[in-house]
Amino acid sequence: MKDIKVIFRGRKTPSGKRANAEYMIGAKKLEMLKKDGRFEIEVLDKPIAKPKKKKAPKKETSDE
Amino acid sequence: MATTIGSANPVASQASDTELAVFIPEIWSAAVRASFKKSLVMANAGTDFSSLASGSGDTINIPSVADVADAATKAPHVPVNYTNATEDSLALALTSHKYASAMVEDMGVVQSNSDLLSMYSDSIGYKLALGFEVEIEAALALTTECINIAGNTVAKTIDALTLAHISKVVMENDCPLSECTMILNPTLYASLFRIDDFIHISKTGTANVQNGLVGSVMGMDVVLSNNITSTNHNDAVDSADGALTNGNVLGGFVLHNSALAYGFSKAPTVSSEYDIDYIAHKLVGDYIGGAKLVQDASQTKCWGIVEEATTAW
Repeated sequence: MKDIKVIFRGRKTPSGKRANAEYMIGAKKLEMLKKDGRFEIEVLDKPIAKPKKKKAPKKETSDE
Repeated sequence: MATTIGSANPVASQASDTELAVFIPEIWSAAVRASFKKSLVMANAGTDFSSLASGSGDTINIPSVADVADAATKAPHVPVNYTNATEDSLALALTSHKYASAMVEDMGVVQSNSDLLSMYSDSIGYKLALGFEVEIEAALALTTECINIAGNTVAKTIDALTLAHISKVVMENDCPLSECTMILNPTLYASLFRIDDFIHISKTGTANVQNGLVGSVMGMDVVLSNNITSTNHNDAVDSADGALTNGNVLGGFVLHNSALAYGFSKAPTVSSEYDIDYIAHKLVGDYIGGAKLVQDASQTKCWGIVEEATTAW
């Protein structure tokens, strides 16, 4: 899902993307582009991960 | 021996099935192949760099040039800006040495009424070509960009909607459709017949078409291949940037004509020698070459076509 807003700076941009324009990309793609190491990526907006609900501690059953 | 009195005893006749069988020769036709040749199509969609390696060398470096910075407004009295960038290159390694061979003993060559040496020589040539096709397919399968066609109405088909999606992805990456080739397995290729926009080559009246070319759709040449067996790359993403499951068997490729580079240090050659120890003719064919997907994140040129969770077509 493309839910991260980014801007590519610098001369080298990923396929089909222009420099200095906003794009929505997915987390996996962002990870790949960062790993590539040749692109200047500015992350503008990232979805905030929902805090995981803590599970209620299990009640211990008494032996009685 | 049967005896007879009179003329009406058919048991005593000289018939072709038994009594005259020795006089009737059996005729052997020209040999037929045990299996049909699979169409070898993928190299037609690439660029041959063999001429660069005709002298020596085992690696061909293909440099790429990034565009200069965007056009800027020139302000009065302000000097222009200059920018630089380290350019990249991709290496095509010509280090794959493959062979196919056969040895035919003299007794077979002398007593056969077929030209055995020509037949096995032809078979060796075909197997070398098939071996190279497999190498090309493995190179293309290294693309980390895939198009997931799982949104199709019927599983394992390309329908009009899927086709529109494929076209969109290719166009978003600035690849002109007319310069692209779609290589499909038989299942996906057959499904194109349901689409009105698919123009089969037989309807165009075109002569001298390249091997495997079977039509065009959305301006892209479509070729059929039976040699697509690889799975998608483990890091592959679909066009919505979602990670794909490992192990989806690819159903085909969409590739721009500059996406595939290949070359031979030694072109496929068949050599023969007479071996006195075995009293036989030895035939060996080999080639030295390689294939490479010429693509990086700056420009996607090749997409694998997958249907999520499809591990067999």
